[in-house]
Amino acid sequence: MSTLIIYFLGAFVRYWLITSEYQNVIAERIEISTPLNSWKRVTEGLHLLKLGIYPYAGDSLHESPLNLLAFNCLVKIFGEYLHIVFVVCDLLTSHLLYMSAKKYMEQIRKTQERNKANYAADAKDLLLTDKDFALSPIYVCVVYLFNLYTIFNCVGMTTTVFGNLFTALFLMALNYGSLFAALPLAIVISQSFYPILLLSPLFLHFVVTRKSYIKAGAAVVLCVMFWSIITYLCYRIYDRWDFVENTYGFILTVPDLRPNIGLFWYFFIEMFEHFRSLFIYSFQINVTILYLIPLSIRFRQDPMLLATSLLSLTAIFKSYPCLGDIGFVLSLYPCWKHLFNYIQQGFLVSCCFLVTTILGPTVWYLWIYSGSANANFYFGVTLAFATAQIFLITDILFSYTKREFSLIYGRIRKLNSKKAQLMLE
Amino acid sequence: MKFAGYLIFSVVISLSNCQNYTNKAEEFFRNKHTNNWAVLVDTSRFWFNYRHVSNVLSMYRSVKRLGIPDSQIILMIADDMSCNPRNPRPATVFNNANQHINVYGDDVEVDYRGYEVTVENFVRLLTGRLPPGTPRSKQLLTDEGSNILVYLTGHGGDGFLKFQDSEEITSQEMADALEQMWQKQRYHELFFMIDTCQAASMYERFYSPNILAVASSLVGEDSLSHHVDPAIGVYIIDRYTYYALEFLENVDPFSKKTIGEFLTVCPKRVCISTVGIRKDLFKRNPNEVPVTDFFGSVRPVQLLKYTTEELDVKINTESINTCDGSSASSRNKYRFIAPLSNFKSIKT
Amino acid sequence: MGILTDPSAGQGKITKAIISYHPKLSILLYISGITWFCFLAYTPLNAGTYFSENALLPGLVKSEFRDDGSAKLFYDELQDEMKKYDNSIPYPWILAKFQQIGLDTYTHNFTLNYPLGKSNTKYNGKNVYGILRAPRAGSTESLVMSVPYRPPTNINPTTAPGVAIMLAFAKHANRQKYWSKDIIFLITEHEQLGIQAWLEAYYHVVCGRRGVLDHGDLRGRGGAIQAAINLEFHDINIDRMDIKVEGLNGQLPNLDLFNLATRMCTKEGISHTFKNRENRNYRDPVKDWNYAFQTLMTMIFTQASGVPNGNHGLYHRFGIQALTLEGFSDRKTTNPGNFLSVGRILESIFRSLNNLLERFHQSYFFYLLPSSDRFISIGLYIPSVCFIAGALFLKACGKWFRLYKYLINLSEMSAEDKRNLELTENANENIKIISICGIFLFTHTIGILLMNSPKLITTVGSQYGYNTELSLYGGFAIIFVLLLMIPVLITIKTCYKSMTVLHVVALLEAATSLICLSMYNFSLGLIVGTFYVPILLLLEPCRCRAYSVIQKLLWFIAHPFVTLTLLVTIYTIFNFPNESFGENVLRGISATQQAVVFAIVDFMIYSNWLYGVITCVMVPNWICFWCVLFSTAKTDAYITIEKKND
Repeated sequence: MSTLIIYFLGAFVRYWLITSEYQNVIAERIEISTPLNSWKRVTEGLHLLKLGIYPYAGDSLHESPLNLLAFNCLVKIFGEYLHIVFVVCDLLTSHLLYMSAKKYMEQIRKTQERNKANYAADAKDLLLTDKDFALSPIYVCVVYLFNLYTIFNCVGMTTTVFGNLFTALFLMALNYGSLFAALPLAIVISQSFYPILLLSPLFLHFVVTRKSYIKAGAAVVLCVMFWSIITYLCYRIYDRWDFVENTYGFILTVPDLRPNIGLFWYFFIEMFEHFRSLFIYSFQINVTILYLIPLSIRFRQDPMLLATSLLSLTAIFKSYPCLGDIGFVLSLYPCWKHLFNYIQQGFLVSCCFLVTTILGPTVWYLWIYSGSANANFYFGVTLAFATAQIFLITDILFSYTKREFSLIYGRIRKLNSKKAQLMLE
Repeated sequence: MKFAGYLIFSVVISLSNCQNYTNKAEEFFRNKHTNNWAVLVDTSRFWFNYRHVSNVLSMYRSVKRLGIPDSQIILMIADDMSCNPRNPRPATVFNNANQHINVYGDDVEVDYRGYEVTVENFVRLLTGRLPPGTPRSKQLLTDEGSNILVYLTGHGGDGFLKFQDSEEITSQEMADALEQMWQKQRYHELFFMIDTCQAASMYERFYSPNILAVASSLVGEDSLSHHVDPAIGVYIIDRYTYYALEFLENVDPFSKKTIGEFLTVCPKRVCISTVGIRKDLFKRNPNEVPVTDFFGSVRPVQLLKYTTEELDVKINTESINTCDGSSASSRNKYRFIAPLSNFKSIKT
Repeated sequence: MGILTDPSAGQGKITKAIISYHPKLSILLYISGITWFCFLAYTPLNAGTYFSENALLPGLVKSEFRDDGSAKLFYDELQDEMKKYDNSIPYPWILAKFQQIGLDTYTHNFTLNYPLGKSNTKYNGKNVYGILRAPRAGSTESLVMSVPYRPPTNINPTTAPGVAIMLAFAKHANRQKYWSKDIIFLITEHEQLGIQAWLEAYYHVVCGRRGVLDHGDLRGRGGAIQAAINLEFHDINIDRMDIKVEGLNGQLPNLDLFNLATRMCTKEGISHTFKNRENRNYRDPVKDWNYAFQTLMTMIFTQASGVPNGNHGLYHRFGIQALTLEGFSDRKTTNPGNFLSVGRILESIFRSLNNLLERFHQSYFFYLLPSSDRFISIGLYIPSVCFIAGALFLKACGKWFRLYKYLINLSEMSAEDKRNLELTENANENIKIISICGIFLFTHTIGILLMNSPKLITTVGSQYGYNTELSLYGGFAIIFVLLLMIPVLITIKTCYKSMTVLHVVALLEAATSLICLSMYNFSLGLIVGTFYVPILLLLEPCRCRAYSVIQKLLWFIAHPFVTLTLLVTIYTIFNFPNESFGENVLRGISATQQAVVFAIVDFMIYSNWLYGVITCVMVPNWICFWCVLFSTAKTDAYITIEKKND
């Protein structure tokens, strides 16, 4: 019963906002819609399509042709009621997240049961209880539904809603151990380049949980296959390859330097052409490869945590982030609710989130409308926001590591007759 | 006997005179300076940079008065001050609040104007790599006998000169452009004058021979403007150019004043910034070089009382001394190529 | 659980320090914020003003203004015309003069639909303006010279000399050929209403609520306005020029414009003042600081209300840098008038503005002025508010860690100990997040409803025959009393954990809104912070009855409604010492009513968001804290638990 109420409330809030006069204001905000996910651009692409012009002529559309086709069908079928589609997708996403969290909790329980014997005696209080296993998925669902970032993302009618849907589908399939997870992953990779990092948790899941290298390899191969089919279909729609330049090329070479909540625009706006390619490479390596391998090695036993941390790192460092990405990742954190008590800077991080979220639009207003502030103010606030997210990830990961350590080794109060501390080096 | 002695003496004298005249003739033809060009550039725009435009126009007037024709002056002005709506004296540009000399006049020929004054155009002009079809007035058609005066004014910094508020030319690019000119035998000698802040940094990287450079301030110093014209409401001329002009006003085409004197025209007590000079690349002694070698178009003329026969003079066949001194190989290595060639058709 | 919350693990030391010392540290932060601010007025700590915009070339050109004779003529004619027009601008005369000078002349009609009380109360107004077109430039940019016309019946000092000098300057300017921007000479009616209507018509926007100010149409227009000078000359003989900069919602013009005005006044020899105080440099540092500090505080108080102190304040939000030159006479000299000097000042200012190529962007937009030649930039003054807000953050932090520690200690206690301390079942309850969210949403909904309520209240009030002011004031008073009773509805009063979380959330909200408020309008943020933060630091639900009553009383007074009434009444009592107490109170209350009405009307017409902020941010926050104060959770047992396991 209470779940129904939760879903109803979530739908109600979204529907009310999306049909109000604030929808336009929210959809225009740069924190919510970026050149990649703005629905206005999709509408323009569809209009060009209707007129028979190649939709990628001109720099407005950055969705892949298959996505464009799908949106075309949606618009044709639903017409005026398109906003309901967005609301329904968000609800669906939250439900999928709920199911993946539930399955994940079951896995944790199984692991716990299995390894109980190895745990230290005084680490018994660290173990999770039934209540924990029941509550976490509900929290995941609630956080996704009532998180301001996801609400605004839905109300702003961005295509990140669909991206989140497929990522949630992927996570659910991952946790259920199905090879089918390759398909939603391929879809999301074709929409936005960065989920390619999720191949690593996919691979590791099958290795660790199903203990089958064959299945793991098959999953990866399947994903690559699906992705190639999708790309080939995209090619066949227009018989041209230059949609790649408008989608992947756009994401990777960052030509559009409109301000957003990311870190790219401020640097590249004042950079000489000469150095541009060097910094593009370094920034993109930072997003993709730099953290992939260390994190994959360290958290190979827990692919869901790995997926979450990779998703959150991309949400911070990608070339055109938006609030929808951040909202999605925030809603995954309650899976590790049991770690919340042990994070060190939780209060500081939440304060930072609160202050930067409110200060961002303030400074934007002062910069663009009043003409008093300037780009530095806005970028400073965005930087603080990114720093808060980074602290959150590192805190969660460190608490996880500490907990794992303490489960096995128990309390170590004294080491060489001095009080011991667990420090992050 | 005495008569024979006198005869022999006079023959010897006359022969030696002949020799003298031959030497003089040889010397005359060996002196390879044949023509003068001037490249005068103002790089800054906007009304408050009025003084840069008046700087360059004043130099233009001086250089023209001393004989260089318009066809051999390339004048680049980045903004139109005379027709600026803020100009209370439209169609004029003044350089002196007291004397009211209108340096604009109605016979000024600006070759590169407004947004055409860019770093690319400037470098292309110097090196001669302009697209085919460029009008003659926009080309620097110099050859190996040309003495070129290059005068730059605007806003500068340590190692760069600002063009038009949106781009810069670095001192390295400047030096490379001049080296290209040297390799293509586009100048005989070059006098480089620059009046900006930290101007000396622009000539620090030069490495081509036969360049004499003077800058209005050293690195770390600012060049200052001279005075305000209260009737127009702007700073009207810069200090260095003001004193340079004062000097040039006393120069006429027959003047014996030397470049060495010109280099000392603005001591620190009037210029406030220290004038920087670079003479190590210049082979002659500046104190023996007449000012008109660069500022005027004075053709070297020498009257010979006797004609000589059999002048064994080689003209224009000596090879250029390259850095490693080998001249024979350079004849094969370097060839004079006329500008606006179709480079694809040249076989190396 | 022990090892991960081991006090010596991670930043346990810091946590411990915060829990023990946070009250003292918060007070220390607050005091350091205040002290930091106070020290800013000390001359060696702030910077001297300087010109950042090279294009201005201020004062370089020789003045050519010679039309002071025409100005005197215009003034005499205007005096005659003003006798005929008691309540409005003498339109025919001004239109004729503009046309005679050779400007493109236009009138502008606008209507105000008074938003409160009975509907259909309309006020009409008409502005007059003439445009001098730049002779050799396309009309892409303009400058504005405006005068707020005051008819003889107006209570404020006359501005007729301003009209005269404006006409004389227009006559002079029309003959010149060096203008690169159009100059618009504007004469407005009804003080700020006229200029707001004109600007809205110029840019085709509606700034306040729709339907309140109908801005009409402009038949003639110049280009984008880059700067505006507003003139309020009260006498033909100006001995002192006061420069006013504070704008709507605390926005200020570019500092270069202010520097330009001061420099030009100095050049012509007319003494300029800021806040009616001329620059004084005392040898004695304390005296010097004191003088500068008083000037600074005057500016803070003017800026905080968000009400512009001249017509210039309405230009700022359009990106137009504007200030007001107010000319006063000392009545000491009997000169026939110094229109010449004043005209030359205006000419120099406009010549400099003419040199501009881009909008003002180089110099500061956020600054404070302790005198007309020194300024304090945002980098210097924002730390004071950050410290003050930091005190609130620290308190929230301390409370949070304390709660957290309490939870740890509670879970480590055995069941026996719990029984010994007579803890009720409630101690084991979870933190009721839903209730807290519900309270939060409820209070903010009340705030939003309150913000939209004035129209309703005045309509209802007018049906019962009360005038606008009384019905609004009465309505707010009733709502206030109702708000006082909200704690009765709160069901989680008894839960210590939930109440603490609510307290922390309210503190965070207060701190965040303080920071955002000071970004927009620093003075308002500073004053609100200075006043509220000590009270907030004191607020702590405790068992001591007397202390609890004192807190409740303090917080009762801290409600914006009560604070406003008390402040205005006390101010009235001070200003009218001869009247009786009762009369003064009545006078104070009526003044408060007027202030409330003005705030709401400003909110609706000009979008002065002071009223909006008070209702949507401060009142909900106040309610949250009020609920926390009424928490009946037993706190003594908890303190024992904390102390026991420390």
